[in-house]
Amino acid sequence: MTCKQNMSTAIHQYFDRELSYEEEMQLKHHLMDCPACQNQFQELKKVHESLSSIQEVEVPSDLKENIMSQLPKDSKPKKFTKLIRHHPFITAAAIFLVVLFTSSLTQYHNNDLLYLSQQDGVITDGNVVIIPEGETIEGDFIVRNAEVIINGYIEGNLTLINSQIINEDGIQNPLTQIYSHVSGEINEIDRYVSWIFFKLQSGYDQIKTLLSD
Amino acid sequence: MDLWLSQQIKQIKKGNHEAFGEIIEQYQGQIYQHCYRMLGNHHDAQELTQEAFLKAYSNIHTFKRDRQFAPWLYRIASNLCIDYLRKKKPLTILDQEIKGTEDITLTDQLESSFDSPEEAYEQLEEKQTIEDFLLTLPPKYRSVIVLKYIQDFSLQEIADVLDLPIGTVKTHLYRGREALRKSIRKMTRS
Ligand SMILES: [Zn+2]
Repeated sequence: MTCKQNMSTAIHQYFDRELSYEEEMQLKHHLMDCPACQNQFQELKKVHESLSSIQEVEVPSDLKENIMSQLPKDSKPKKFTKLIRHHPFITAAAIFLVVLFTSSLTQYHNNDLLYLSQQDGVITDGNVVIIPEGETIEGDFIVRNAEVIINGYIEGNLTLINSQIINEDGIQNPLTQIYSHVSGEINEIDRYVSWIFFKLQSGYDQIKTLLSD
Repeated sequence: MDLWLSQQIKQIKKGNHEAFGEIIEQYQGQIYQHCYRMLGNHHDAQELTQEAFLKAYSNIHTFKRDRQFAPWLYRIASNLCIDYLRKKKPLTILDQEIKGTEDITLTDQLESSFDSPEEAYEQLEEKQTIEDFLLTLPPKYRSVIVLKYIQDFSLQEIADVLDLPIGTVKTHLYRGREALRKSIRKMTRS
């Protein structure tokens, strides 16, 4: 027993309330004349109703506590603005910044080349960097001037400098797509100013020594 | 985004754990339901719910103010579940709990109350419910069905959470329901 008209989609749309009044009437008339579709309709109705009747389960009472106890201590490096505001050596820091600015500007423009902090297990093809499925990068991973496809896993932080996450078709992907592929934090640095701050943060200890001398 | 939520997120970005505690309070129920229906047992559901919140915490600075928070959180949880299922694929059937007997997996049942594995499967089949059939669906269909029926999301909301075109969401939903229809039919005939 088969039906010549393909009503399957309409039947599904009915359960999602996606049919107009006219379409619904049309479907109902068809169901009266067609045992095959009537049968499919009744079976799907049963599926729809039993799915709708699934009960919520109870949440474990220690869930929140467990999460709270595993939260990382606030280890985020302080924002640069805050640093300036609270730093007693503000003038010296400002002077240092000018020096840093000029030197890093040259560096920034000289660095159009692809850069990876590690090569193991990574495939590169021009400026496209691929971490294949099944591959795990151990430790923090820094990429500069690249388009990155992540099918594997990064056991550490990911820093993207002037880089994008793309999918296999070369289309840019939102960062949310790769959360499950990165165990640590994901940092995106795509503007010159942020790049300076990044350099400054990593060189901060150096500055501190300089200033306290 | 409502004021309360944006205040909490601002605090979390400053490293305020208490603010994050309030977020957990607010969303743990829904996220747990999602993980439970995706994974089929309390142990994994708890594990993955915790992981989802921890991931949300450490990635909170990538959350942009103009976006919706709930879909963002669901997406983290949903991706973790799908990844997890992909990794432990061969074990899923044996680890599914038998209804009403929390913590006792099919493996335990095989060893205890039945004479042969075949008999155990037959016994199991008779008791199977829609919840059990749901767990046999491919994860991509399962997540659409769970978001639609357990979370009551609209098709557009599901598309946002899973980052799929709405057409694909519909296809997965229809195929998922068709597969469940066939499972139920098979059960009632046997
Ligand atoms: Zn028909």
